[in-house]
Amino acid sequence: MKKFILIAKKFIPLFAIVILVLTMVYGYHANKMDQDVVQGYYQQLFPKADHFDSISDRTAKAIGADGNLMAYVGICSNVGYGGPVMVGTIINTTGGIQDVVILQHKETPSYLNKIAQAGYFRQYTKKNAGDPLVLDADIDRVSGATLSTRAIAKSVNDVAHTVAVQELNVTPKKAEISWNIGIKEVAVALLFILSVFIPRFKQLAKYRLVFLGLSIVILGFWLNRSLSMGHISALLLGYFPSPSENLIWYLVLLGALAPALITGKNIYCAYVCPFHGLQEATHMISKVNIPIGKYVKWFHTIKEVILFLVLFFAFLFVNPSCSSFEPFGTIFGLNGSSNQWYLLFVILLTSFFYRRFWCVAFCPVGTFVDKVAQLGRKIREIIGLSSKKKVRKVENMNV
Amino acid sequence: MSEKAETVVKPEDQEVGKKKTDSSTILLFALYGLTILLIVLVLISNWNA
Repeated sequence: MKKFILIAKKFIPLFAIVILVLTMVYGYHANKMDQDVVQGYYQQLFPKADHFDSISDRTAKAIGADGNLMAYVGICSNVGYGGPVMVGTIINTTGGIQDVVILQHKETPSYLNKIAQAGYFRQYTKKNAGDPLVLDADIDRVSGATLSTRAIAKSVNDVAHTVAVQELNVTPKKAEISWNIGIKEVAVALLFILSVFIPRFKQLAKYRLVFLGLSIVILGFWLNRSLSMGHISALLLGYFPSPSENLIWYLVLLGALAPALITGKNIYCAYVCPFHGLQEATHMISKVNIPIGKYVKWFHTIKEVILFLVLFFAFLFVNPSCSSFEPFGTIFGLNGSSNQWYLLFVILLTSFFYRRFWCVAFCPVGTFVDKVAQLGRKIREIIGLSSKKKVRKVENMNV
Repeated sequence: MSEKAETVVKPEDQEVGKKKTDSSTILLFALYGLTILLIVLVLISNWNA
């Protein structure tokens, strides 16, 4: 029986990975829009049309009852802050953009209200299908809703340029997008570079809490860009934003996952995660430490199940943020629903008594980085960079 | 010898010790359960948004 349990334990991770891959394949297949759904969206966009003749799989000509061309319509989806944003674009017969409509989204409603109130959609009606239609080039962003406005601009760009090339015989103008490297990008890069070096020097390692404090300020309250399951699911689902416009997205992912894979240690959680820092701070204030003791191992197993479920639902619905529940955005972005604020309150209250309670019992991000570190250790072991004994020592330290 | 044995084995102390462990476990699982409940509520409200 014991032997059976040991063998089963060995195969559970492999089994979980196979299920996740199959779910991803199923999710992509199930969420693929068939032509009936696309036609339904066209009808919603331009109800006056009698029928729609396809230009491509997501763009069409709206034809009136008299058989004349009324407009061009198209739909496109790109990832915003909360997940994919489905945008419909109407272009008139002369190539001018007539209207831009959000058809489906997972964004926080307050973000979209902010975008509408800032007059973001109005700027498109002065544009033509052949214009660059690129955020920060000829389209103005709405500050505080950059990811959503960028997703909308990309979708309009995609539809408009398809119509421009295929129907209007116009070559779209290209926008010169320079790499967005400013003080924010430099600060994030420095934070991650230092996080790799600090643990290597004993004299510096004792300043871990000071470094975490710095991360609370930079990655937390200033930028609100701590690593989340939304990041990880988007990476695994293949949603990659433009690196020139979204360098911090890549810096955070690379800064957290690359050191784990190379060194086999989870440096991000111990030295960079601002929410970890916040829990350390509350724990320091209370000076109470009730040991979790024998339950740590239980929580460790449940955390792995939580990680599996978060990825499972993200893959099933092909939506990186649908199963995300972390309180990082609530505290650092000061934006959340009442339930999110209650959750944050309970976590911080609990961390007064139990050190790093969220990290120990719930955090799927930490569990994922641990898994990457574990993979890194295996690779090091295979290529002979570290001995089995050393690998086990690090594994025991991480548990 | 017997005095020493009396100071070491004190049934009432043992009871108090046991009670302390139990209450900390109850607190831990009460907070754990509350957090799980709130996570489920957050997921439901995200889904309905």
